[in-house]
Amino acid sequence: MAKIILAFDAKADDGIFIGYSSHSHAYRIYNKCTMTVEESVHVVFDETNLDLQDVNKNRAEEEENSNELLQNNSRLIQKFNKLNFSDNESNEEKAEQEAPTHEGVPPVPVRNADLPREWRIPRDLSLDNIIGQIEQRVSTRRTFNNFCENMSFVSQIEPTSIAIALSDDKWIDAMHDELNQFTRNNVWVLVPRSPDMHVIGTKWAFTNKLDEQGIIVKNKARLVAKGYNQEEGIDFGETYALVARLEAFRLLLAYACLSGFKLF
Amino acid sequence: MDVKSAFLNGYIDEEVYVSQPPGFEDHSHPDHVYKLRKALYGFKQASRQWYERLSNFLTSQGYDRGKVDKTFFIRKLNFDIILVQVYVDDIIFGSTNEILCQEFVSAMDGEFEMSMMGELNFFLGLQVKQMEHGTFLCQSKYYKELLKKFKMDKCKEASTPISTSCYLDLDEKGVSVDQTKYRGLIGSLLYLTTSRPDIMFSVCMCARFQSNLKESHFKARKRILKYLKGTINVGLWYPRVAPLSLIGYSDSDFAGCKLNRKSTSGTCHLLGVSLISWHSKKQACVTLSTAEAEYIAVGSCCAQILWLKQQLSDFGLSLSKIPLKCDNTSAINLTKNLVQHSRTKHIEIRHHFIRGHVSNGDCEVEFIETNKQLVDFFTKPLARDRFNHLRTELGILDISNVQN
Repeated sequence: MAKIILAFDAKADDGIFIGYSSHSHAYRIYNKCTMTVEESVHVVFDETNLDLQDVNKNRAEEEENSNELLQNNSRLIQKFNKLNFSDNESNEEKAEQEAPTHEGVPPVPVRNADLPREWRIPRDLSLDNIIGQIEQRVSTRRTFNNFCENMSFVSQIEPTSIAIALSDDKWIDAMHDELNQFTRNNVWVLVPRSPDMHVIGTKWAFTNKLDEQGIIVKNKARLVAKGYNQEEGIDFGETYALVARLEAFRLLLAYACLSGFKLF
Repeated sequence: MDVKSAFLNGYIDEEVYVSQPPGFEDHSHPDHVYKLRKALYGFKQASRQWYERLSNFLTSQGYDRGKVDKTFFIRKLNFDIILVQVYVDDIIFGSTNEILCQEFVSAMDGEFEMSMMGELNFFLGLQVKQMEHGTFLCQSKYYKELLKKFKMDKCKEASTPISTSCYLDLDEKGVSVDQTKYRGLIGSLLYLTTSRPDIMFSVCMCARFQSNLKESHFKARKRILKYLKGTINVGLWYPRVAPLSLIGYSDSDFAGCKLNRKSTSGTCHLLGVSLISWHSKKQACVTLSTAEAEYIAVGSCCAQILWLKQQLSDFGLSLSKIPLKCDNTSAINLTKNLVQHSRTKHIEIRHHFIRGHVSNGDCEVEFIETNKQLVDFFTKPLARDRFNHLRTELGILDISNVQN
């Protein structure tokens, strides 16, 4: 039955791209109007719709991420995101299993091996906006476990004052470590204060030690004296300390190499 | 290896009191203060006291201090020797006999809390690789951070650190550049020369123009970074098989500085074939002739040789008549006989100090052809081919060349 096409009707039919013709340079198209599979070269691909959806979805994710970024550090987010993705997908999986006949389509089981999915980068989204490193390999739940293990022993913040440090158990532990070292080394004794004493103040310095990947592995608290209050003749005499020259170090290195022994 | 909390080990001579640590005050005696027996971090004398404690301990264990380098300790036992170099709390040691090493480690471990034991691979930011047929020294980690810091990690690469036509002057009419941002760059580059003598000349050149930074000076700095970008894995290579001898090279670029016509002297010293020390410096006075400029350079080369000689005698290696290569015959003759003719009679007395050491037999000034001279590197900008040739001659190699 031939269809009459009026002046303002669509000249083309909607179709779905299936593949390529096996014997000519044509596309195989499922024509939605005639409900048949056709082979034709007169095809214009509509690529806009899908991508737009993708971009919107990604922007929404971006916004979510940047909000989180304000509160946490980026590494954390990456790991949490990955976990969230897999959770979402397993939820979908459940939903599909619960209502299999609803759409009349047999459920496609989502295999665990497919998770977490790859990063898709839409063309008009600049790479700078992506949080974390794309090249970094996918982190599994096991590494996340280790990460958590580390997290529970190390504080992620670097306190700027003693008040903040005292509110954190891990930093209190770090300060105790330092003070224990003082007692072990027999550094000081407690004496009553007399008015003629020149007392120098002390202060805590807090630093986080990082490993090669930039993960915080240790909280280090160091008690330092306010040396700028020292007075010459009372609190200190000579201060000059020798240091080795780098030339001397190179000479030692070359000499050890020539005489055939290892340096430690 | 490292000493943990090194400064807490130094005994303090003065009577010093400190307040109780904030947050950890003694509740029963809130007004008490601590009297110190040992130093804390932050004290002016802390590093000195630590060093004194360490040197006292080592001398009590039978170690001798070096004659010139007092941070160097040696212990000789029959034909074996152990060498210990101290840099504040970093300690490097090596011995011809394993047992001496083990003794040293157990002695140190008994006295102080130690960490990071094991083979030397990192010292003061220098990466050290000890391989079967030699040792490689580089700072590639530091380059990468530096390039990133100055946002040059995506720049193009340059084949030499300074172009042969590069001529830096005050450039008073040039466009000014924010100098505060790039002052740190010179410091970082100077630190980089520890394992990269090839950028020595260009860095020293740039370092002379810091107070009124112009675009032309800035470009020269960027060129160095571009060169570094292309040679990130390059470092010093000390091969294992070579004769145990010391050679000094000296050269000068007569009136190299166009600004005030002062000459640049460059020297370098090789132990066997390993480059151990070098310098590139604008001379303090204007010279009248190439011979005079060379004569001054030979003098500074000799001073360095004397230091190296004393240091090597601590290692148990005594050298005499150390060859000092110079490419100017008149300068060589001047070191032998002080000819007082019109062109040399004005030379300052301090520059004549080499004559005494030549007559004592400490060093021997020898002639070398200009094209075999290795120190051209440190006195003037060179073209790519000559530059690369000298670089390989001096053992400044890429790590990939070394591993094969």
